[in-house]
Order: sequence, then C-alpha cells, then structure tokens
Amino acid sequence: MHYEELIKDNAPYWPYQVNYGKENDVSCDVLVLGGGIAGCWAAIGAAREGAKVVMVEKSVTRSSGAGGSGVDHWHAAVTNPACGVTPEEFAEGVIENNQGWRCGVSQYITCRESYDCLLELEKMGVKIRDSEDEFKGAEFRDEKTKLMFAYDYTNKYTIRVWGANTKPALHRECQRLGVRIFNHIMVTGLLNQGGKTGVKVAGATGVNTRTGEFYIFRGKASVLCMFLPQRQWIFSTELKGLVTSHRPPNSTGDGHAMAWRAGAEFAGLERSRRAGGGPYGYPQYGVGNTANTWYACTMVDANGKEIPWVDRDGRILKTVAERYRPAPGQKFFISDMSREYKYKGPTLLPDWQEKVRKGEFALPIYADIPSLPQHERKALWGLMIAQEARTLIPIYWTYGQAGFDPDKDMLQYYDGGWGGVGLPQWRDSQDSGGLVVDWDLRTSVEGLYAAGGQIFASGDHAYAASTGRYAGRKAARYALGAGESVVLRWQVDAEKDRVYAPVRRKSGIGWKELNAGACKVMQDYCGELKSEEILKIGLKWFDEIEAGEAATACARNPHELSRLLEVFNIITIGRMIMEGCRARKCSNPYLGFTRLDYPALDPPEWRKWVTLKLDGGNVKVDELALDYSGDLKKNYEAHCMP
Amino acid sequence: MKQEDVHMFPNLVTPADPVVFNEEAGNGCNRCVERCVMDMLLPNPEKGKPPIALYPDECYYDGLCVVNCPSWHKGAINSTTRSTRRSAGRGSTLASTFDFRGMVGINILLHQITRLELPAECSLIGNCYSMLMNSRQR
Repeated sequence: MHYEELIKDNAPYWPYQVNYGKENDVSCDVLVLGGGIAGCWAAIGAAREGAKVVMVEKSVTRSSGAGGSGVDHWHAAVTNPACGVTPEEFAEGVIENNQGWRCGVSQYITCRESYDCLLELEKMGVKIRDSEDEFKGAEFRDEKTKLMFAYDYTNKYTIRVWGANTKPALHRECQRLGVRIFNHIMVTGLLNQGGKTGVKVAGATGVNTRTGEFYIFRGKASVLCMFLPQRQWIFSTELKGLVTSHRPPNSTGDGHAMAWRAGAEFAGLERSRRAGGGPYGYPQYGVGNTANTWYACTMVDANGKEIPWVDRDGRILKTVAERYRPAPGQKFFISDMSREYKYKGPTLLPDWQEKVRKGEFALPIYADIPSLPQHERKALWGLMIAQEARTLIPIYWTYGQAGFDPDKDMLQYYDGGWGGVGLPQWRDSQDSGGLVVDWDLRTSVEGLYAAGGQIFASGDHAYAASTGRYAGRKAARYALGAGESVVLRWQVDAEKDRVYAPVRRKSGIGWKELNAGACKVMQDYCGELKSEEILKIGLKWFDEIEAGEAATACARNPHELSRLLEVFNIITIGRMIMEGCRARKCSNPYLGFTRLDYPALDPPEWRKWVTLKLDGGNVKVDELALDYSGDLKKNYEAHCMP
Repeated sequence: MKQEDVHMFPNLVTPADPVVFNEEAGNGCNRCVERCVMDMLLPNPEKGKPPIALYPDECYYDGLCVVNCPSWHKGAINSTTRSTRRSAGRGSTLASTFDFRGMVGINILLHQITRLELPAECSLIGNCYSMLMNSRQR
C-alpha cells in the first residue's frame, strides 16, 4: 500500500480554487512570453510604441527570472561617457574572443543599447552611480559621472551597480505603462495560424500553476523571452534543493520547446560545457574565488603565501591595481572571460594548482579579502555581494550574523569555485543553443520575435535588457500593421488534451523521477563523448520514455502539473540537442563538442552554424554563415528604429 | 518518549527546512508566498499562521522570501545554511597551527545550529571535519 493512501484524509486541501480546463481568452497587440529581464524590457519597449501588451510569467514577475534577484554588474555598457572602446571594437572583440561562435546581432545591439537601458533603470529608481561619494577617489570610479567600473579600469565598459531592486523597478514600470501582467501562468505552447507548423504565430496557450485554469492568448506579434534550460543534464534535489544550476531551476527551456514545435529555426544546440558540481556545489558567490563578482581578489595559501597574479605574458603583477589594467601594448581586455591572447586579462598564475601538488602552496587556499585595498574590499563585499537577493540574504546577511568580518576574515576557496567540480557528463548549455534571429530580432517564423537567453549564443543580464527592449519595439511596429490573428478550435482542444492528461491519472511516475530519468539519458548519451551511434541510442531512449513513463505520468495538483509539463519540455529539448549534435560532423573544443566518429577539430568546412527546425514532422538541417550578421554598424543603423 | 509519539513517517525531504519561520515574529501576511519564484511556499489553512513550506526540495536559495518579508529583521523568516551548503573561512591572523576557532564557516554552522537546535555533530563536516579527524588519528 502506498503511504499516501493512509494519510490522504488528513492532508490539507489545496489552498487555491482548482478549475482544470476552464478557459480564459485574452487578446492584445504584443504578447510577451516570459516575465524575466528580457520579458519586462520587451513589454516596456512595445508599450512605449503604443501597443496593447500582455506579459505572461510562469512565476511572479516582481521577482522571477535569471535576473530576478538583482544584478551587480552591468556588461557591455560601451556607450557610457567614460568608456575607452567603441561599440564596434567591443562587439568585434567579444565575437573574436569567442572564436566567432557568438550571435553578432544580439552582441552589437547590446553594445549600442546596454548603457541606454541602464540610464532608463536609473530613472526607474535603481542606483547606478556613487551619488553619496562613498567610493570617492577609488580607481574604478569616474569622478565626473560617479559611475563605478569593474574589470578593465582603463576602458571602463562594465559598470558596478546597486541592482538589488532591478526587478521590482521593471515590474513597476510595466504596470505604469499599462502592461497587463499574468503571473503564475505557464505558457504551454505557441499557436501557429491555422495550426500549421512554421506558419505565423498567432498566440499562445497557458495553464495557471495554482488553479489549473487554461488560457488562450491571442497576439498579433509575440516575443519569446524565456531562458535556457537548467535541468537538462543535472537534476537532484537531494543535496541542496533545486539550486543545482546557476540560473533559476524553473527555467526549463519552455520557450525553446514550444518554438521548436512551432517550427522555428535554432542554432548552436550542439554546444555544451562541463557544468560543475551541481548538487555538490557551494553557496553561489559565497566562497573565495577570483571570478566575476570576485575579480580580482588576492588568494593566499594556508600559510599566508600569496598566489601571484600575472598578465597575459606571464609578467607577475606586483600591485592589486595592476590586475585591472590591460597589459603593455594591449588596447583592452575582456572581463574575466577572455580566451584569446589579444583580449586576455590578468589571471592567477596559470599553473598554481600544479604548484599545490608540488607542495609550493599549502591547502586550503583562501580569498584574502582583508588585504585588498579598502575600496576594492568594500566594492566586493557590500556593493557587489549584497546586490542580488541571493547574495544579500544567504551570503552577506548570513555570514555577517555568524560573525564574518570582511576587514578581518578570509573565505576558503574550493576547487571549481562556488560551482564545485562535477563529472564530464554533468553539463549545461550556458550561452549556447537558441533561436536564430534576423536584425529585427525576428525568428524564422512570422510574428515571433526573441530576446535574452532565447537567442542563440548570447549573453546575460544587460544582453537580455537590450535585446528585450529592441525586440519589443520591433514586435510592436509589426503588430500595429498586422491583422487579427486566427486561432482554430481544434488547436486549443489538442493542446488541452496534452496539458491535462497527467491530472486525469490516479497514479504514475512523478515529475522528479521523470526529470532525473531524462537527465540520465542526457548524461549517458549526450555527455562528453558523442557519436552517431550513441546519439541514436539516446533518441531511442527518449522515444521509450515518452511512450512509457511520460505517457503515464501523474500530477496531483496544478503545481505538480506545471513541473511535469516542464519535464516534457526537457525531453523535447533533449531531442533537439541530440539532433543538433548529430548534425555537426566534426569536433570543436570551443563548443565543448567531441564526436568520436568525426574527430577533426573545427575544420574550415564546419566553420558555420548548423541550424535545425521541424518541417513536416521531420528535422530539417541547414546552415548559416558564422558571420551572418554582416556589417554590424551598418545593419544595426538600418534596422534599429530607436 | 511515549509510544503514541512514535509514528511511521517517510524520510524527511532533503533539504527539510531551507526556510524557517518564527510564528511569534511574523504576521501571516503571506508576502513570501507571493514572492517565491519556485512557488514552494503555500498559505497556511489557518489564517495568521506562517506559510507551509510544502516543497522545500525546490528551494533555490535566492533569499527573495526573506528580503520581501516585512518582519524579516525580527526573525520572522530565515534562510538556513546547513551541512550541504557549508563554506568555510578563517581569521586573517593565520595562526601557524590550524586555528579551529578561527574558522568562520564553523562559526556560521554553529550559529545556525544554535538557532535551529540541530545536534552539534552535524556541524563537523567536510574539509574541517577531515582535518580535525586526521589530527586526532595522528
């Protein structure tokens, strides 16, 4: 007997009025799907054009999304008055630093509009400059504008901000502009006009994650603004809950899955990387390290011996200040993510870990925060750590309560940083597969636009803001000239059948077990080493799971239903990724892509994007030039429509 | 312990209490329920009482439930750091021998344990634990 049978009569009732299948019909000009950073900016961009905007969010717009808990540095703010590089130099630099594997369209739009978005955020009440002169005299502060910079203090393209209240501010602005916001609605699918895959998108369907009610959204244009899948390879709640991924675990690539089913074209699906320790990681940003928010912290060994920082030529940097400057003869370096020599910034001695093995440095290693110059210390602990709710409460507040004092105490470094170290088959698709877009940020399907993590090979917070705002105004212009969209009854009925099947069952596998099973297939058949044979077995496994466990899966309330629908999407994306991997017949270290049957490393004939879409029920493979975005400045100026 | 206090229960969910409420300090406003991005908190059937953390295993530890609580500074809601999310630190004086009391991480865990009344042995884990044990074995 199942234990729950015994306790059922005493279990509390579901607190929300459940009404599975009850229909709500909503119409608008621009339908924004996903209410994270990209979604809010898309809604703002579209509303300013005079469009009637509806925004649909699976969680709660005021706090949700990959940037929901805040932001501490604002990237690619190249048009700020203190910046030493041009948008062209920076965009081309980032693309080159990624060996060409970067979407030039979203990259350049961000370089042109990122700082404008930040200025707009300031008007919405977000503090972006040191107005109280707390950091007066700091090397990273521009005395004229009071803007504060990170990484390259000579070129000043990344701005340190007090961005903890970014999402509430965006939410308020959306409300002020009259955007109709639907929270707790999971978008389940896009509606192609007339029900034909690949034809114009006329709207979307959704289900309320608390009440189970059904939603039909009709929009003349739609902007897809959801994030990359986070529970694709790694799933375990057993160790530290669902914080197994860096980004929010309710980002399950729903947008990817529904756009795929609607016939939109994708690129970059084959790219993945080792994700770190997943459930074995540490509190995010909460251990000593030198990356990102912690750039460029001093590290010492157990005896207080300092691990030197070096420039790109291996020259030891004697002062902390030098860690924020380009090398002699270098125009600029690219944050802490530089790969190519031309853009490589200062790092810890590259072979320091080998020196640990040789006994030159004693474990454990610590981040020596107290030894940093006062302004750097205050910027790290208080300005940056604390400007996201997830660093404010779990780190800044909790450590402080426990007696941690950044003026006196150090924090331990763990291998792999706060992500920890995982197995090679524990992967993620950070900055990789997504929708192909043109210079209007339109996808290959009419009426469907994309922004943020929905676009292939793009960036994070500032990218989501810039592309969101741009896609919003483009979608609005299109919508205001477009006719009413037509949704057929059978389309709605078919989606309702699919969506509600799990709540009609009395027993069956739950969402967690199905998620773990799907991840196991990804680890086993789409892990570090790939081949046609292995990938085909993986696809067969998904066939079997879909026909077996997934077809009998059960949801006992609307919450479980939404989680289960997420896992169905995870399975769809698993297939997309495997098909993407089959289509690239070479290996490529940059893409984290090893084909045992095609070992040639990035041969010239494969220096191109491989694109995929559903066409007549089959996967259609095509290609796109790596630099399809063409002349960045010229194309942007021809399309931007500010 | 009385016989009637012993029940058949499934194992505790892991993590069991990523969010802990203090009923006296809160007012039952359910703002945390409305701000949780994972929707892991559900309103208590009894009005005025703290929410039920129905899905603690879905916690993302983003702290939004805490920062949005009007009474968080009174301790109405706490985000906990337990053994699986430990991290360690050390006083910067770098005593030549292993300075157990200087380990900030241990202090953090002790702090949480005091507050949550967990058995003390839960704190002695991971790196610090193995270093301690190694020194004892020697």
